[in-house]
Amino acid sequence: MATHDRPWTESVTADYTVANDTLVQVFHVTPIEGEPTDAAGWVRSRYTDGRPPGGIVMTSGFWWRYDTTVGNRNRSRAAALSRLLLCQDMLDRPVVFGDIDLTDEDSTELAVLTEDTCVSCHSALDPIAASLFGFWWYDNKDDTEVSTYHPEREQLGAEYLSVEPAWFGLPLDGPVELGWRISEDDRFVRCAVQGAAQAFLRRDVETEERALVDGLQESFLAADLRYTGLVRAVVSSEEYRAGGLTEAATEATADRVRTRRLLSVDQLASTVEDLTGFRWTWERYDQLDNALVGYSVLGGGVDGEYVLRPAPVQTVSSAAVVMRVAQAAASTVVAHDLAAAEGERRLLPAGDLLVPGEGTDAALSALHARILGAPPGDDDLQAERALWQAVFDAEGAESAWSSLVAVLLQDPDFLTY
Amino acid sequence: MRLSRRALLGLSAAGLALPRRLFAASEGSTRKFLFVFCPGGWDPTYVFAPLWGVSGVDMPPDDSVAATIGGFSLVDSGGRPSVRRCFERWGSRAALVQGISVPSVAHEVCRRIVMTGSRQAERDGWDVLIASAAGASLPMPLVHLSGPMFALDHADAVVRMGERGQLASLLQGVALGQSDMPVTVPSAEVQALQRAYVASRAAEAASAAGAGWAARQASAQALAGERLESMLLEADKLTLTGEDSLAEQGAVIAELFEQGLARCAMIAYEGPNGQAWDTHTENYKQGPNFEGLFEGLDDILTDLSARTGSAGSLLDDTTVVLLSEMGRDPRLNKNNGKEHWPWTSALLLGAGIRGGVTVGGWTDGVSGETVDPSTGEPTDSGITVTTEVLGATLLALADVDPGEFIDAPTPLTAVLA
Repeated sequence: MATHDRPWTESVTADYTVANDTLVQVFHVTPIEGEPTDAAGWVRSRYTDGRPPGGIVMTSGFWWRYDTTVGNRNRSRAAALSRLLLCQDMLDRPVVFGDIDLTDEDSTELAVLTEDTCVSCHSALDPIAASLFGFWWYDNKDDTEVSTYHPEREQLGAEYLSVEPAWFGLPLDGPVELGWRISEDDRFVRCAVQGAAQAFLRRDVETEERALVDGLQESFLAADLRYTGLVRAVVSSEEYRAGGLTEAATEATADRVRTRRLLSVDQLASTVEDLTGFRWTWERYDQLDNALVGYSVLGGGVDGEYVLRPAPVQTVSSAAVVMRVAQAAASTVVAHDLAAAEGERRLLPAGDLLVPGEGTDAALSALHARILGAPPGDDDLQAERALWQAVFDAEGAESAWSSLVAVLLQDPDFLTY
Repeated sequence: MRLSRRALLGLSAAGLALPRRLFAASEGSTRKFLFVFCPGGWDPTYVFAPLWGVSGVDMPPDDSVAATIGGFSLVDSGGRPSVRRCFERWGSRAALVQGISVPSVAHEVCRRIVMTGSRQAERDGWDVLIASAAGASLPMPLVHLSGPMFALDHADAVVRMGERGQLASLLQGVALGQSDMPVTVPSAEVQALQRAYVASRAAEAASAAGAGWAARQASAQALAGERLESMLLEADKLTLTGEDSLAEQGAVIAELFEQGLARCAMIAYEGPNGQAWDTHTENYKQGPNFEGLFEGLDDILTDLSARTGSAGSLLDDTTVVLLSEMGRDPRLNKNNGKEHWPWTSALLLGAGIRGGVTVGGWTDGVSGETVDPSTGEPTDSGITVTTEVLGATLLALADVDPGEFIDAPTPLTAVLA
C-alpha cells in the first residue's frame, strides 16, 4: 500500500492480492491479465478458489500465520483482527473464571454466551470468528486443504458458535462484507496512525498523547489515507524530531519521548547497504532479516514468537552484529572503491587514497561527513588520522580505509538518530 | 580497554593489547538461575498431578499410576523412567508448586503472565530482573538461548546467543565468511585497534550524553562494547549447532555459570523432536516430551553438581526453574488432544530450595487450591498461587527485594531453604 501509494483501506477491501512467481505456485492465484509486474517481482493477482475479495483478510497466508484450533473455532483469529487492525487487544482484558466449571464442556460453551465476565469479549469475538469459516481446515497438515478457501464451510460459523456473523454488532452478510466493515470502523484508521507513530517513534504512544495521534490522523485523512502522507506527518512532528524536545522539558518527558533512537536491525541493514552497497546475504538468505539462522534477533529485532519487542538499547549481542556488519561492509566497499575508476566510487572520496599525504585529512574528513552527516571536529580528525596511520603502517591503505569505514559505522552518532 | 582516542595517537597496531577479560571472574555469593521453559503448555497430569478419581479428568492413556517418588506424589509410568530417576535423585533438592493461576488461555499472554506476573507489557521478566541485579559486573547477565524474552527497562542485561550458535559465530568471526559478497577479514591486530577506537568513542559519547534517555542509550552502548571485548575470549564456550540436546545446551550454560560470566539463562525445551507441548491433538505426545525434559534435567543437575561452585558444587549456587505458560484442559477433546487451561505447575530445584516440599494442590474443578505461603499447605484462608507469588519467590531467592517490582509481594517462604 505504501510503496504503490494506495489508500490504506485497500489493505482490507482490495479485490486483488499480490503474488510473485513463488506464490503463484503455492496459492490458487492467477496474475490479472495485463497487470504489470513491479521491480520486485510482484503482480496483482486474483484467487481462483471462490473466495470473496477482502485484501489481506482474505489471504491464505494471513490465516496460516494466525491459525486456530478445533476448540478455539476461529476466536483467536477474530482476536488477531481486532488487535492488528483496530488496536483493540481483547487479550489485554482481565479474565475472571469465577464459578464456571471449566471441566464441563457444555458449561464452558454456555458461559461464553451468558456469563458477564465471558460475554464482555465473546459477544464481539464470536460473531467475527463466525465469519471466518471459509478458512476452516479439517486437516491442517493437508497442503490442498490449507491453501484452499472453502466457500461451502462459511455457514459452519453460525452452527459451531451459535451466533450469526457480525462485526462489532453490525451484521455481516457473509465474509464478503468483512473487509468493508473493518475499513469503515473508525478504529481502523486510528490504529493505523497509532501503529505508524509507534513504529517511527520507536516507543509506545501513551494515552496522554492523544493530541499527537489526533494531529497525525487529520494528516492521514487529508492525504486520502495514503500511507506516505501519514509517514510524512509523523517524521515532521515535534515528537519525532530531536528539536522537539525543548530545554524546558522535564527529565520524565525527555525519558518518555526518547528522541535519540537506536537503529533497528532492518534500518541498520538498509542504511549500510545504501552507503556501501553491502547486503549481508548467505546462500541468498538475508542474514539481518532471518530470526532462525541469521542475526536479526541478535541484532535487536523480534522473532514474532518469543521475542516480541525490539531491543531499545544496544546489547552485547547487537554490538557483535554491528561489528561484523561494519567490518564486512567496510571491506566490500573499500575493495570496490579503490579498484573503481574515478567517479565510480560508492563511498570513498575522490583522489589518490593509496599513499598518505596532504590529501589524507581531507579524505578522512569527507568520509566522516558522508557517514555521520556532519564534518569532524579537530579531535575527531586527529583520532581518525591516528587510527588510519596505525593500520596503514601495519597493513597498508586498503586496510586503513576499511578500518575507518568500519569504526564510523559503529559510531554512536551513526547507530542512533 | 577504554583508551581515549587521543591515546591512539602514535600507537602502532602491535602496540595494542589483544582482548582480555575485563570483568571479575566470579560473583561468589550471587545465586544463579537456569530457566527451562516448555512452550505451548504442558499437561501436569503426565507428571505433577495424579488426579485419578477426580471427575472429568482424563489421565494419561498408558500404564501411568499414582506413585510417591522422592517424597512427591506424582504420576509414574514405565514410558517415562527419567521422571522417576530424576525425582529419586534430586527430590530432596526440589520443590513442586501446584495450581498456579495463569488467567488467560492465549499463549503469548500466558507467557507474559508467567514470566512477568502481568498481562500488560509493563515489567521485565523475572529472569531479566534477577540478571540486572548483577549490575554491570558480569559480561553476560542473562544468556538467552531460546524461549520467551520480556525485556523493557533492563534490555541491556540480555545476551541473545541464538539457538544455532549465532553469537559464537559472530565472536569467532566465522560469520564474516558466511557472506555471498566476498569479505576480507581484518587481522586480529587491526580488529583490536578498531574495537579500542569504537570503545573510546562510545565512552566519550556516554560521558557527553548528560542525563535521561540519551544517557541510558549511550551508556548501554559503552557497556555493550566492554562486554563484547570480554566475551571475545569466551567465544569457544558458546558453540551451539541448533541440534543440541537440552543437556548439551545446559552444559554451555553451566560452563558460563562456572566461569562467573553469567547469572541467569533461559532455554526453551520443545520436546525430543521439537514437537512442542501445544497438544490440541495427540495429547499422548506429552509423555515423550516429559521423558525428554527430565532426561535432560537429570543430566543438567548431574553436570551442575560435578562442577565447582563458590562453596561447594555449582548446583549449590544454581536454582533451576521449570515452567510452562499454561496447563492443559483436564478433558480430552475429539482429536485426543487437550485445549488450554489457566492453571499449571512449576518445579524449582537446587540452590536455596527446601527440598521435598509441595506447595498447594488441585481442587475438584482442577483449579489451584489456596495455600499458606509459609507452609505450602492448602487452606481455605490462604492465598491463590499467582505468577506474582511465584515471581516474588524467585526474586527472594535471588536476594532481590520483590517489593521493588510487585505490590504487597508474598513469596512462598515454604520453598525457601
